Amino acid sequence: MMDDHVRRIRSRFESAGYQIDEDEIRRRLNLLINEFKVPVNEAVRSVTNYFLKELDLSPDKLVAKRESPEVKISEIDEPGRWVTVRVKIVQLWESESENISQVGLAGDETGTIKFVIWRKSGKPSVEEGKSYVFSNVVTDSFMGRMQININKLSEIQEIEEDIQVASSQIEIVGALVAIQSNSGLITRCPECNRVLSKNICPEHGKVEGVYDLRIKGVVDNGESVFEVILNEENLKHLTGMDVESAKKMAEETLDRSSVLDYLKNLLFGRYLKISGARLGRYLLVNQVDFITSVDTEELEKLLEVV
Amino acid sequence: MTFRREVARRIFAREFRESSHIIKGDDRYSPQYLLTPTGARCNRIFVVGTLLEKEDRGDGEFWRIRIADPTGSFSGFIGRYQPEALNSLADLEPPQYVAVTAKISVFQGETRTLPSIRPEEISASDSLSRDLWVIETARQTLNRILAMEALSTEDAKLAREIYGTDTSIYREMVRNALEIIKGELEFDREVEKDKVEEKVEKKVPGDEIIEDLEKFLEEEEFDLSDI
Ligand SMILES: [Zn+2]
Repeated sequence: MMDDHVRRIRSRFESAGYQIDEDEIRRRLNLLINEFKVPVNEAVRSVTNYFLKELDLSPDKLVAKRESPEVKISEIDEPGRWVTVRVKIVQLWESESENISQVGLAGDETGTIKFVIWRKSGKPSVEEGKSYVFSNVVTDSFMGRMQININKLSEIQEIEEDIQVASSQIEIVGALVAIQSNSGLITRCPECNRVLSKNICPEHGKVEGVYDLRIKGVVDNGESVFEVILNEENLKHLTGMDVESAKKMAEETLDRSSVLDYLKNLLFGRYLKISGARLGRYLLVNQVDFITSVDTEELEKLLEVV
Repeated sequence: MTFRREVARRIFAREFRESSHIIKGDDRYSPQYLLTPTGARCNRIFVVGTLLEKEDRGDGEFWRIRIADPTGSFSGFIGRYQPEALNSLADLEPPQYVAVTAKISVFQGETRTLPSIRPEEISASDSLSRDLWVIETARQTLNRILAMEALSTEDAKLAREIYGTDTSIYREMVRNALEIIKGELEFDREVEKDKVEEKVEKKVPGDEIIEDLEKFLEEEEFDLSDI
């Protein structure tokens, strides 16, 4: 608790270009809070003012510099920077670790970047498709790619503005060569949208799951692999099945896995044309269609060359 | 540690059958690859073909399968360690089109090594997917042949050194596979055309009823207005 306030005061001065001694901050805060029982926010203000006077700084200098600079995603190119970004949540991924509250992809008009909201930050959940200002987030590099970390000192504020997201759109044709078992008719936590197993959310405990339909799979063209998620809209377009008809099928067969078997039959090994944004292992599906006929021109061309 | 998923290569059955060279990694955890005569390095393959046989070799828990393409056939085994495929196989009856994603294994026999496939997943497919697979596999095989003739990749050089590959044989294999697909497509178009012509000549069922009715009316000389 105390350490956080010490660090916050130190970093406010640091981002204005001044180094102050943490021990000195702690000693003064301790005196006011524990000896004089001054409310914490009053103590913080008082200590901040003390150092402003010491350094002969006007408070507005500190206020102006307090926020980390607002940058575009394409400008993020080195780790360890405190920045502010205005982004839209493009996709949420399943958390890889207990220490991570949410992980996913955020974007602005210059590009996309992975974001990690650490559980310790105590921040409320963000939602796919909504736009936010992430203030005071720290840039980091993980396996050669840039990401941003949302920690205790960061702020997340939802905004009305609909941020446009740039993406490197690609189009591929390939076969759906794998379908993961956590596909088909699934349930999600109504609070945080996580996929549930046995109606238990790791964060919100036992909840009434909300039904959703998806296929997590791999599209492969013999040269590259792309991990894809086909959502309800994609699946309805391809197979005609939606959440309602999937629920009906599960009820009639008394078996939720019958939905996955049905979808597998229609989709496994089929050739698909997908346009979307490539991000590392993932291809974020924008449009997906079956290949419905043989390209006879290509067939003739191959026969000429061979 | 994150593992990179291995690409499923596209290989015709004949080339697969003629492959015998294994490339092992640095330690026993590294993936193994089968190097084919045209220089494909594969750990996993994807095939759409015709399931020709499924033979129970162990109380329904170990099956031998054979899947054909226009150039030959792939031998494979499905056991308890491929639960998804084992489960799906129950619904499949040869002959039928299937799509298969499979890992590769190689039996070291006394006289030669025999490559086979271990399906991770197998599912019913259709003739369109089969045609698309043949064309895709033809294109990728041809690209490897061209790379080998130009000796432009390391794997092409290595494969030629090991197998002494005569690329004209594989060009012929690709050409034959494409000709078969082309022939089938032309046949299908003829059938479609016949169907359309038949439709034009054939009376719709409603016509026959009216004709019968007219005959009946003529014979009985009923007044049409009564009907
Ligand atoms: Zn939850």
